[in-house]
Amino acid sequence: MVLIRPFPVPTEGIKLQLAGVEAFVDNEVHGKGNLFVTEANIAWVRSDSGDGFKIAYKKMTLHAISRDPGVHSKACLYIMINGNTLDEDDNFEVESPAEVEDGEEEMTEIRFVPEDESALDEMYKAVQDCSLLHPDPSSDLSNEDPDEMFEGFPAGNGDGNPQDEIAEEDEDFDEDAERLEQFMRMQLHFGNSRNGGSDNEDDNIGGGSPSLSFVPQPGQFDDI
Amino acid sequence: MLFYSFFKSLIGKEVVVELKNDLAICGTLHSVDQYLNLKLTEINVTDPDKYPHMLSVKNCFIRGSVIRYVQLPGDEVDTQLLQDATRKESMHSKQ
Repeated sequence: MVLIRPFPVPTEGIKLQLAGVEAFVDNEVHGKGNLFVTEANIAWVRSDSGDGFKIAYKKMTLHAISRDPGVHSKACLYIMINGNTLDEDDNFEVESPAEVEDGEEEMTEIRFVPEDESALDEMYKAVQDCSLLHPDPSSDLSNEDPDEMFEGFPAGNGDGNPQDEIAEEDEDFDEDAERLEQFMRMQLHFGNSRNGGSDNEDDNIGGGSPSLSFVPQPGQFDDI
Repeated sequence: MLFYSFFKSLIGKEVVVELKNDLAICGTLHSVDQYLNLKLTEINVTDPDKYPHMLSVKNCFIRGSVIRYVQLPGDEVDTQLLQDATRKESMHSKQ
């Protein structure tokens, strides 16, 4: 259940602001309002009543543009939300342990319909860029316990445990890894040159470079 | 960064992405970033009855943190090479 309540108009870190955007939450119409894509969250505020809601980037599963007139009469930005609340602060409805065991996780579907369809690409891009400012804490693989990465895997091809195999095959394995690295570099190179011609930033998440260009400084984008 | 590079090598190939909310999306891998966020094109959902809105969607951006599995095109992956590289990565991170 999504709570629509009096909502202050965002003032900081606004990446995109668009008026006359119709909002649907799980197919429920909420009228027209202003859409704000900010560095902290996505907010929508009804123009007449001032009621609205915000979406935390970390609650988002995916976002996409829907243009099929057979499904929706007007093209829209579709956002799938993990769970039945839009914001991490909205813990008024705590998921019961039973639901978690079920494996059937709740989800919420939001659609934003702009007056002018041509705004969709810009909306999509703004959501993508700001979403990159909020990576999941666990997505940093280097912080993971390496032992954990092997959990659940069968113990390699051989009879011994994986550790023994590594020790035995160390030389081959260095060579192979080198080969793979070269292969990866080659792929990266081709990948970049293929996209490089168009120079279209949209073709590459995060600008197409492996550099951490979207990583915020600690505290820089802390939610207020 | 190994898996980032690895997925980059699969760009343009067809994959099936299974999400933690049990949605499975089949599509062409368009791009990937260091958080393993994936962009897919020409997508299909395997369970359109449950997710009718997804029928109208052709491309999407998936947050890496919501992905449970990615089914890879078997022919495109040198599994031996990948296995060795993951071991090497693991060894390095232990040192």
